[in-house]
Amino acid sequence: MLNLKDIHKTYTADGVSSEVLKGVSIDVSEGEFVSIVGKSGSGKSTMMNIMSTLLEPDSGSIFFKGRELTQASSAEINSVRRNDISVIFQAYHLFPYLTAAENVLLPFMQGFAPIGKALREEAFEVLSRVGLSGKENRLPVKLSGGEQQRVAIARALIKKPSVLFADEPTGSLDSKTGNAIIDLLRELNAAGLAVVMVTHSPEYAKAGHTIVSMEDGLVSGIEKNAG
Amino acid sequence: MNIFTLPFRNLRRKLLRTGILVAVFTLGILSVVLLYNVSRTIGHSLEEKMTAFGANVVIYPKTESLKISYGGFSMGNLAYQVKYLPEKETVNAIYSIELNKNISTVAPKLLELIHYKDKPVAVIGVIFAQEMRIKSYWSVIGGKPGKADGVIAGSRAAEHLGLKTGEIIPIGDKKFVVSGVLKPTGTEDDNSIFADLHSLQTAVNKPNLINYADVAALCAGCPIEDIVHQISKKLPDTEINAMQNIVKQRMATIQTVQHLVLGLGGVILLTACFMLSMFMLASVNERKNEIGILRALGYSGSKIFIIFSFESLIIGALSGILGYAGGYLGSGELLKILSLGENAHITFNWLHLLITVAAVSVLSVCASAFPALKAAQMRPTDAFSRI
Repeated sequence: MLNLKDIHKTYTADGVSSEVLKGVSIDVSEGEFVSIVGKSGSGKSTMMNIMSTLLEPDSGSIFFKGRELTQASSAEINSVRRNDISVIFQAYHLFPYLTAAENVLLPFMQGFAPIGKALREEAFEVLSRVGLSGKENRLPVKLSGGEQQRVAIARALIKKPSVLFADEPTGSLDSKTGNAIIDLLRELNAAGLAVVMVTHSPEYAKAGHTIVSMEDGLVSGIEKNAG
Repeated sequence: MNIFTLPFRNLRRKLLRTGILVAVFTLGILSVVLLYNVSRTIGHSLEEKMTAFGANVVIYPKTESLKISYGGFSMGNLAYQVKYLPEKETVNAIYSIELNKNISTVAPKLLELIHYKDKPVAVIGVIFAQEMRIKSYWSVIGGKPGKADGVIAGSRAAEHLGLKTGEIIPIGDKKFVVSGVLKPTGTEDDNSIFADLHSLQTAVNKPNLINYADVAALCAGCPIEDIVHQISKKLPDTEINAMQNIVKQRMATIQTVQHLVLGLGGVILLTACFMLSMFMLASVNERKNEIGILRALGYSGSKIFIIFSFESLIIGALSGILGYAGGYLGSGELLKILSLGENAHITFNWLHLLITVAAVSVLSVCASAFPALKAAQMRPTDAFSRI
């Protein structure tokens, strides 16, 4: 479903260049759970940003469902972001002035036409699915960290994406809440959603069918996990 | 909920900041509306006061004559024959022009030379009500003519002919009664006798005829040339003289005030626009995460532009409404304070409000175009602090 071939990426700051990815190739199949692990600076987050179209590589190819994204127009990329992929972050990035349900509906607020009743009901349903029934009308400030991450996951799910990218989704959570989030991602994956998760934690990485280890901008190992 | 929910909610969330922005913009609009209303009212007031000192357009029949006068000493006209204008048709034609709202007064006149006590004197047939409007400096000793046969004598004419109130003057086949004498004016009026136009026409058997007509035109915001052009189209067989120096002086006074107002208003608005631009730029910088999320959710650059522009548009529209209303109310108060309110009529104009709101909205969107564009061009990963 998602194939990255020979991806290179260099950052330049204050005249100093730093090659973060030095020719990385990764494949993600439909319904697969891929964990990417590595130390800080290994390039795993850059890798995930490139996979999720949030960042352009300097060279290399990205194929998504047979379509080469590195050659796609910005309108096509926006369409992929809108319909096929979802991203959740360590910092949740919820809109503080929107309720939980409104945050979930954010992907559908792009149009001039008002969001219909059916979609609003769906938002409540998705929130219920991630364990937030009864908290739909709360502002993020009234939710715990774990609950906020669940809202972010619900926001990612309502689009019915083919793949969910999770960048350190447990990074700001205590271990109990983190475990719950990992369990939720497992459940979603079991329901057919492909998941690509970047994590520091070798324990959480075990949730993936495939564990990709990165070191110094290169894939240092690919381990298949029976689960 | 739709794309406009985000700007609305964000403005509501940051009420203090929104309030400051609206207040600054409102102050700018209020100043412009207030100054515009006040200058316009003062302009009209000046116009009216200046119009009271005489006509600015004279209409008379086309002649092949050459007026011979120099240094105030007239040697008569080299005219082949005296021509007349039809009174009613001329007056109606003047009032039928497109710019007839700017016609303040039409004062037709018939001139007749008579001999009284073996002395020649000019009798001017006028419509007293109209004449008094353009000659507010007239002051009559005795009384104004109450009846059709009443006349007013100019101060020098009265002295020269020994005229007194109640004296009967035969003109043509009618007899007229002196009802009053003008105090000296320092003009040609001092040498003449003024009779009711229609009575004079009957007396000298010149029904519906006039020699010329004085027109007082109000010209705040209208070029006198247009009025002259429109009258000449309606009255092709006449010559029309606009007293350009008077008109230009009036126009210059008003234009100076209006230029000053425009300049001041421009500076105020420019400052408000600059502030809005700075606020929006700060807003874009502090909402990088939001922009990043929106881009990650598939919002295009143009949608981001719309979101930020709409925020400015709301601020602009709100300021436009408050600014216009404040300016409207404030100008009335200011005119009262300046003691100019007695004749001032500032009317609330819905069309002006609509134009103001639309113009300010466009201005505010333009002012925030750079920050909105910056937001629209932001890539998702530029927006997140952590890559």
